[in-house]
Amino acid sequence: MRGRKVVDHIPEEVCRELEAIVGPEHMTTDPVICEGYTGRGFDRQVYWYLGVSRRPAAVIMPKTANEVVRIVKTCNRYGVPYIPMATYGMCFSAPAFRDDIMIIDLKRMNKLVIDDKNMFAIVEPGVVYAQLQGEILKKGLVSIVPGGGGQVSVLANAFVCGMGLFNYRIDYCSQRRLNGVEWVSPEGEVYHLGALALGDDSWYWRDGVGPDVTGLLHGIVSWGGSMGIITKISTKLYPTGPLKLEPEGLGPGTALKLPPTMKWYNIGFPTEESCRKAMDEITRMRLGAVMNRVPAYWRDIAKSRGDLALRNDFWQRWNQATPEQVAESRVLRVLLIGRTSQKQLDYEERALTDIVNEAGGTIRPARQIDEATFLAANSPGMWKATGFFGECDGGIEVPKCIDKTREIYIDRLQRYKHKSDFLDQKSDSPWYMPFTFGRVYYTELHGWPDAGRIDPEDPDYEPGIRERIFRWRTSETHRISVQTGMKSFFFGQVQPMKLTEPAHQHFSVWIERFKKEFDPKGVAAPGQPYVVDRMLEEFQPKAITSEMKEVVRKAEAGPWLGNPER
Amino acid sequence: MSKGKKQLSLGLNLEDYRYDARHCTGQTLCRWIDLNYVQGQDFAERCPTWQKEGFDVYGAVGKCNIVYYLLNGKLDYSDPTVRDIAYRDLLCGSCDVACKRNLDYEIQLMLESLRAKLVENSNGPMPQHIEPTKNIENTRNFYGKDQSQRLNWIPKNVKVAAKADILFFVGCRPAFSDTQIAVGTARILNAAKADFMVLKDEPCCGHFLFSTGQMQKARKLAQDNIKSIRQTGAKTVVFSCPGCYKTFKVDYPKLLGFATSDLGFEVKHITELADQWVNEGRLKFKNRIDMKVTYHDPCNLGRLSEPWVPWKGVREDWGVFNPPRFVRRGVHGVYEPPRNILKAIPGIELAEMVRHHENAWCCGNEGGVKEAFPDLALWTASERLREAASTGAEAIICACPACKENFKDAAKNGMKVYDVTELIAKAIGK
Repeated sequence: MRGRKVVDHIPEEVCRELEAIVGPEHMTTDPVICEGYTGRGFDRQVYWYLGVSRRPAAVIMPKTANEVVRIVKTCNRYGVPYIPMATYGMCFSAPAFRDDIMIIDLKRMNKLVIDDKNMFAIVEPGVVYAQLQGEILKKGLVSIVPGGGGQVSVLANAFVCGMGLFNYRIDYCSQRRLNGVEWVSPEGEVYHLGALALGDDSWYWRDGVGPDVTGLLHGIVSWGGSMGIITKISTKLYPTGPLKLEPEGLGPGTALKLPPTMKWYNIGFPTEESCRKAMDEITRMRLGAVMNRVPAYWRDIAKSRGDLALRNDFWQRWNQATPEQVAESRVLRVLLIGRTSQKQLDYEERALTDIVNEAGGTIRPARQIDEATFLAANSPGMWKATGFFGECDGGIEVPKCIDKTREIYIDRLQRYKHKSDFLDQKSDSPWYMPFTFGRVYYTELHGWPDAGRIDPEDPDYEPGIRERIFRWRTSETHRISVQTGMKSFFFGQVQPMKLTEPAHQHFSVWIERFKKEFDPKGVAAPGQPYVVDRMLEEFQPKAITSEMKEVVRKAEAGPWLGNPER
Repeated sequence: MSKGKKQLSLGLNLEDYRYDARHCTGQTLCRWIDLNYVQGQDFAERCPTWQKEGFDVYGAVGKCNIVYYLLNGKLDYSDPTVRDIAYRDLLCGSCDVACKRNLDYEIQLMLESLRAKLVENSNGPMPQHIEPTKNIENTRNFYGKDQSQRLNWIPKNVKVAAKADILFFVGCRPAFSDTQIAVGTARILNAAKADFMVLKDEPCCGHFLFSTGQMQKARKLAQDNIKSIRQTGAKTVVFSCPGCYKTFKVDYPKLLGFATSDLGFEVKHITELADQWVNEGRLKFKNRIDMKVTYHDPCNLGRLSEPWVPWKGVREDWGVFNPPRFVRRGVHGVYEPPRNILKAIPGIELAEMVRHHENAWCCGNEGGVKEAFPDLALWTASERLREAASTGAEAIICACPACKENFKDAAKNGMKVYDVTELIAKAIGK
């Protein structure tokens, strides 16, 4: 066993059995080594600062699916709760509330096989997007790097939203990129899903014989590790033509040089309506590879670099911007790619220019580099501003619903009497973009607080601000989503599932049925996906207001058919 | 302005990094090279210890947790696992530059301070560090050799001035272990007609003491060495060892509380001067060297070598520094001069590895790791040699005797290992 052997929560004979599966170098119960995993995952600050996060009782690192099966079966035999993690980007800051959970760290499982002729890649949990993308770009293929960054696990991300800037064209739902799945159930049974169910090594197609069980595993937010462990998937890749993207620069200003057949555009519009009108037309014409309405403060975040401390640089820039200037400078970012030829790019550029002119917009200079689309991503850079990446809610719906959601949010945030709890967005729209050529739209509603003020260990901690922020996230922001019908992407991570699931057809009935069927002993990530519910009940009960409960009750009563006027 | 904010100096006091440790976002960019530079699955990671050992506590993200829990008393400074984690770390600065792509957390300084704190609490350095420490204290050199032999490397046909504006600080490795580097450097200086002197009783720079957390001893050595150099009247001190170079340029000012610009003399690596002299025509490459090579960026010459500027202040609202603070991100290290020189040598074909400049993979011979964890040191070097071989290069060129030593120890695949001074000396016909 690595480090000191401590058998507080897992009996010694069980530790020996587990150690024998992976070898002594790949398992530990040493509290110091385990402490490296405390408070990790999405919204780390919130969970950790509240005291919800716990040190795992053990960490084990399997190399193969066979080892995973043996570990899971051992856990079931002895009642050892476990939670899997790949790159720990989203794992709901688990373990939470319990000291006896063992983490199954899957990073050693890093096989990557690319079938470029048939355009799919087989990946294990330890492969990250940057690695996949780096390999396939050489072959004229591309995947979708999610907003979370190229450092997140391809496999893990494929079971949640799995969306990034290329969803503009390639369909928002990562599930539709799944071909085949190898799944170790919470009890340790191995299932091969999709084309693999046909009994050969076909990884090319999603549907197998019989019902599609992959749908059980995938969701907007998914299970948080509580429905076993996916050990292998096949994911679709998309042709992009030969693309040579040369990296240049030193941090924090590294970027990829664009070839002549790719071009970024920064387009300004006098009003949000004219911007939306142009977006509708661009999507209708099927132009471009990426389209993204970027909030003004993101641009100041991106510009913050150089020798001055990044946060100093950002605030120096942002404090100089007035709301009027922000309103005048709203920017739509569009990436055109001449996949077939330079002629294609030229045509799309002419079409784009016509649309922009008709909408009263202006094409502004844009640097012909890519910083955050192909290999890196925007999200990690977002920490620059406040040290705390504050997602209150976000989601996907038809364009009209997303427009309504954004408008209400801007207005509510502007009138909120505790507006100064957050970075002042100066009435600018939240980020939004079309998916699948505008069939649906996505938006994220941000509120960015000071990481110091929400931390009880910080001299600037304000208990009041933390309460207000939780109330804002759950009962103000999420209330908008429930009212307009926007499908929230942050259930179980930011929003309490049990609170609002009545407004979403009581889907937790199904969660509990499947959980009972597949994890009768309750050892797979116990407490998930309801950790947020418990956290709010125990630590922030005032976060849930009577108005929020009333909105949920009304939504439950129906009609629910996505009526944005509701 | 926030009330009750602690004054920070962000030097070698671990308590100053409470904010950094606590506010780590967990995004794990400290594991990967800058993502825009990733070219595929292989050679994508940046932390040798994390890649080899696997558990997250061996990466910066896990160490932030450990530092935080040490500061709040949940973990103990006397814990042997804490010591293992702190010292099984090359202190190569790779995680530091990675974090600073998006945040301003001082990971390198935090890790240096962690070692200092462990030594203060008598849980450091590692037992294997005691002998070299005693050598430095007793014989004034890392190897415990007869200090009177320190200048024996000087060949008869190298001209050393009694007094000059340039002082060549040789360093323990070039003086005693790899004298080719010392000789090569001296020949370059002679060829450029740059008179230079040496210290008659040149002591160890103390880099080993600093990097193993023995700050009190390192501080004493720093004071003595600066005094000795100032007494010579040297305007420029030139180094062929980046360990010594970075120690003088960055760690001495850090230990003694002043800026690099206040040292009283300029600090240069030989490649900085040689590059300048090639451009000025003072160094001419007469001989061809037909070889495909790749260049390895030494950590102490590259990302860790930016000058030190002391700072005192607070983190205010939103974590903003007051007064504003300049951050050492590894951008202004010595990266181009060695490359310029290699490209200027006739016959040399220079191929770049995937991980270069600030993303360079460490050689493995830093932070006391070679002494305490030789397997980790050798594995790290062999990974770098594998990467070098992937470029098709027949030789890996470094600008550091420590890197050269570890690569030579690890080289099994026929890869040749040279210091850049050796190639320069050969090319200029010396």
